[in-house]
Order: sequence, then structure tokens, then C-alpha cells
Amino acid sequence: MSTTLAIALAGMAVIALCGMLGRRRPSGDLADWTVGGRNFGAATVWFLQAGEIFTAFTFLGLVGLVFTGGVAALYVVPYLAVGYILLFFVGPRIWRLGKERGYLTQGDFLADRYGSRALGAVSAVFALLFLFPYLQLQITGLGLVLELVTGDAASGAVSMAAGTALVVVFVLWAGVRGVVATAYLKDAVTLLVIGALAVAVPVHYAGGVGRVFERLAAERPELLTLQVDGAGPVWFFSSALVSVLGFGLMGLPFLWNSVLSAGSARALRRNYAFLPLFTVVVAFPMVIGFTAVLVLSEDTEPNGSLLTLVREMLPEPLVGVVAVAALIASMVPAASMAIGVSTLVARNVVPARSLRAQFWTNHATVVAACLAALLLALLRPDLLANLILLTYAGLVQITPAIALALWRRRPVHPWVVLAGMTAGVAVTLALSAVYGAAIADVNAGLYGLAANLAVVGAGALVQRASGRT
Amino acid sequence: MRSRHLAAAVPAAALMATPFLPFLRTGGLWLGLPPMLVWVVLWCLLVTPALLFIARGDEREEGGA
Repeated sequence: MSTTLAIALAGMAVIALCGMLGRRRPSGDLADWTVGGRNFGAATVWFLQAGEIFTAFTFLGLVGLVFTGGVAALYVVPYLAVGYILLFFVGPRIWRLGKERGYLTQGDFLADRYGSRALGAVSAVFALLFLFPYLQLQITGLGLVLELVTGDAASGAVSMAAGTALVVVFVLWAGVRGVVATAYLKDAVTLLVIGALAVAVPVHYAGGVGRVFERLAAERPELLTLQVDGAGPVWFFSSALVSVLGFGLMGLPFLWNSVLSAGSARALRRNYAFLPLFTVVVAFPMVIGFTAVLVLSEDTEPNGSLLTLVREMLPEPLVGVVAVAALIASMVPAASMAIGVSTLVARNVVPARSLRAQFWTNHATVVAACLAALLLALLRPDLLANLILLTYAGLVQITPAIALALWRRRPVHPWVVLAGMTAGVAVTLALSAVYGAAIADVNAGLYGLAANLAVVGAGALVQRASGRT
Repeated sequence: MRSRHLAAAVPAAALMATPFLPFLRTGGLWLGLPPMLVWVVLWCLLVTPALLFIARGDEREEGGA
């Protein structure tokens, strides 16, 4: 076994141990397991929420996006910052309603606000359809990291299997408290590693950050001016808009756990005010991506750019440390997503009546979902590739229903929002199947959202004309 | 909705307008960095004071009510 693989496996074990130590007491209560009794302090929620933005995508995918599209990858910064502005207003409102009405999931909120269990169930199925590939992406990330740093495909498979098993164990054992315990470690390790690499990589390969951009301005100016085919201004704006709405209006089901677990609305608002400062950290992997443009050949696997640079620059033990940082950036979000998936199934999809039955349905779903994601990642890693691109485009279709229900209870008939949501999902899937994730550089989710809003608008007018609610 | 809530709209508009602002796409550098990078980081940093300003006003109003 290589030093890198040994360090990486040991790192994964430490992460899981840390997660297991997060458990406070044996819990047979799904509410405690999912939202920690709704009494997390401001600092705890801050780490939980800050950790949500640092995933395998931020660590590996963003460097890859810069490698292929240049500054277009910067769309991530506006989407997060503007998303936090929306969450500053939306989050506390959802927290108050959740505390008053006992919500644990997005589906609970929709079912209660519209008085329709069917709406809660269908929205949960749509959410699962688009969230599951995101869970698989994190597990695929576990394998990709080890495969790239060791150059051995078998190490990748070992990493995926071990990482998934450890995530299942600590999630079942400690629930959201386990995610919180690992989030402290994750934020510290990823910040330290990505910050150090953002300085070391440009210095090692090009003589410094300033030199990287001087050379790019002279040799590849199109990467600094949004002139790459398929990654121009319209792509930037539409990608940012879909992501802002999906993120800021709570379209991502796993965001609900951190919001509902907060101890007060004030703590949430303060956190959302300060989180944009943390967003600036996203610029670090971008500097590494620009260095990769100058150093690596064009046929390099974009998502592997960061680890390829690191492997050629650092000694084996330090490569192992970087691998651990990338692994933790996959494991912790995977744990959050597993909780998001399982609670939606237990609370909104499977009609489990007793709280005990919900609890065991939930735990069985954690195992089944993680196992299914692992099998797909091992056997058919490309099967869900298109759906991964559509995570935000699909989840944004749930946001009109959420936004309307924030305003007042049952603002329109539940069948109206259900019809809009279904139309939005159908249009997004159909267009992306034929044309890909963007049509004329516009994200497919925006076409779906237009159809969604048109159906909801027409339905509301018919409802008003007929005088029915 | 209070007029102070508009303070959040300024950085939001500046950030979302980023890809369409011609002065960010000249090919030159600002402080040795791509202008677009400097622009989004700057406005991102300004979001926090804008939201704190709103939060302070809202809390003062709630406290006085």
C-alpha cells in the first residue's frame, strides 16, 4: 500500500470517528436525529452552513471549470453571495414556521402550507430525482481523488467503498450532530489546504499569482473575457440565476436541515450576513485552475487538474494530506445529502404512520441510498452524468411553490403548483435530453421555470375567476 | 418591506450584472488580477455590511415595537 493511500484511508477513518463522537445520546427520535432538537447555536449553524458550499465540486470541479471556461467559473461567487441575500430573508421565515409546525423536510413545509400530502409527496419525489445524482457525485469524487493521486483505479474503488461505509456508519449513529462534528474539521482542513495550494501552486509552476495572470492576459486573453464558446456572458448569467433561485429559495432539500436545526431566527440572520465573506474562499481554487491552464496539456481530465498539479509538485505524504482534504469535502456533503434523501423518503414518500416506523424507514433509506449510489458509481459512473448537470435546473422547479407558500398559507390550490412543478420538470428534462444542459447558452432550468410559472399563473387566474380556493 | 431592505439590492444587482459590464471584459488586469475577479470579490465583501445594516434596523424596530 502506498503512503498516499495509507494516509487517505487513515484520514477517512478519523473523519468517521469524529462524526460518531458527535452523538450526544441514543436517539430514537427522528426530529433529534435530523435537526438536533432545533437548538444549535450560531457558531454551530455557521460551520454547518459554511460547510455546505465546500463540496467535491468546489474542490475539484471548480478548478476543472476554470481550466475549460476561464472566468466564466466565477458565476459561483455571485450565485452564493446573492443566494445568501435571499436566505437572509427566507431562512428565518422558514425557521419560525418549522418550529411552530414541526417541519423536518421541504416536503413537510409544502404539504402543510398547501394542506396537501400529495403535493408533499410529489415534490419529494422530484427532489429525490435531482438530489440522488448529487449524492452519487460525492461518492464518485471519493474514488476520483484516490485514483488520481495514486494512479491506480483499484485504489479509487477501495476509497469509494470505504468512504461510503464510513459515511453510512456515522450518519446512522449520530445524524445531523455527526455532520456538525465533521463540519468543524472539514472547514478547518479544506480552508488550510486550499489556501496553501492557492499560493504554492502558482509560485511553484509560474513564479507567483501575478505572473499567472500576466501570462494568461498575453497568451489566453479569451479566458479572462468570457469569450470561450459555451461559457459566455449569457451562460454565466443564466447559470448564476438558476443557482441563486435554487439555493436562495431553499430548493436544495439538504439545506433544510441546517436552517431547521438553528436555535433562533436571529442566529440564522447573523450567519447569512457573514457567510458571503466565506464565499470569497471560492476564489482560491480558481487561481489554481488558471495555473493549470498554463501548465497542463489541453487533453487533461479537467476535474483532475488540481490533483495532477499536486501529485507532480509535492512529496507523497503531503499529497496524502491534500487527498484527505478532498475526501472530507466529499464525505461531509454526502452525509448531509444522505440525511436529506432519507428524511424525504421517511416523512413524505413512504406513508409510515408511527414515529417509530418513520425512524426505521429513514435509517433503512440511508443504507439503501448510499449503497445504490456506490453501486452506480462503481458500475456505471457515467449513467447519471446528465442528471448531475441538471441538479439545480431540476430543483429550481420546486421554488415557485416554496416562494408562494412563504407569503401565506394555501396561496393557490395545491394542484395548480403541482401542475406547474410537473410542467417545469418535464420541460427541463425534455429539453436537456435533446439539446443538453444549456440551449443557446441559457440553462435548461430557466425554460422549465418559465413553463412552470406560466402554468401557475394561468391556474391562479382560472381559480380566481371561478372563485375557488 | 422597509426602504432599508433596498441596501441588499445594490450588491445583488452589481453581482448579477457582472457578465454584461464591458469594462470588466477589456482583457487588461486590475492590481495584477482579472477585473471580473476583483469586481465579484469586492461586491461580495460589501454584502455583509449591507445585511448587517438591515439586521440592525430590523432588530431595533422589533425591540421598539
